[in-house]
Amino acid sequence: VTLGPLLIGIYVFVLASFVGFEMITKVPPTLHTPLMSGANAISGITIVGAIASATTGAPTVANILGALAIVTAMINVVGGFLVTDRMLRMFGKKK
Amino acid sequence: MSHEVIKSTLVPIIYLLSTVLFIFGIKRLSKVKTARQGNTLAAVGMLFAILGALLELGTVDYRWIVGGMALGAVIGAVFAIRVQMTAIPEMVALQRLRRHRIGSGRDFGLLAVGCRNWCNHDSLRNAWNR
Repeated sequence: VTLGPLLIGIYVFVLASFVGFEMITKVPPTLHTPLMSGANAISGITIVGAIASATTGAPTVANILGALAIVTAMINVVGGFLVTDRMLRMFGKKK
Repeated sequence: MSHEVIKSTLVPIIYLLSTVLFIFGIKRLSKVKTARQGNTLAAVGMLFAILGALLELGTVDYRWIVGGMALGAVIGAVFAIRVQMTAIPEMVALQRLRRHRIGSGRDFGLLAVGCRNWCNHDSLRNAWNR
């Protein structure tokens, strides 16, 4: 059996649904906020797509939009992970 | 290693590695003891993903990419530090609320003490005696 790109995509989607469901069950209420924050930081993975679209030095529309996408994705990544870590550090002190 | 081999083999392996790191990161984020470690794992996964994306491009003009990443990183870091200042009271308040478990016997005890003090208040007592 050879899987086409669409079928591979469907496989990934279904398996990822199971992984996602398994990972967010049985989370203590105190960790809901950091988990949301961390998951939001991970959604900055869009930076991979953004990097692929800003590959020339010329200030073309595509390049400027790509650079803008990199900036916003990087805000998400750096800000997200830092905020989550600050939250968890505060959490650790209290315990 | 030629760029073709990097693109067809190394980069997908790096992406897979970062996916695994994300999954373990979120998994560890859901337990109090390992939460910080989980966040770090996810951040390392993101680093691998960015490195993979850069490797995939090969030799291109990096100026816009590096500039955008630097600007975004600075804005993100400033945002993270500033938002923390304003979010501390709410977060601490929430944690306190949870620790005291509003609605437990202890809270009704505190409420009872408060009522007693309020009933013993002088002005109230005067009003009562009048």
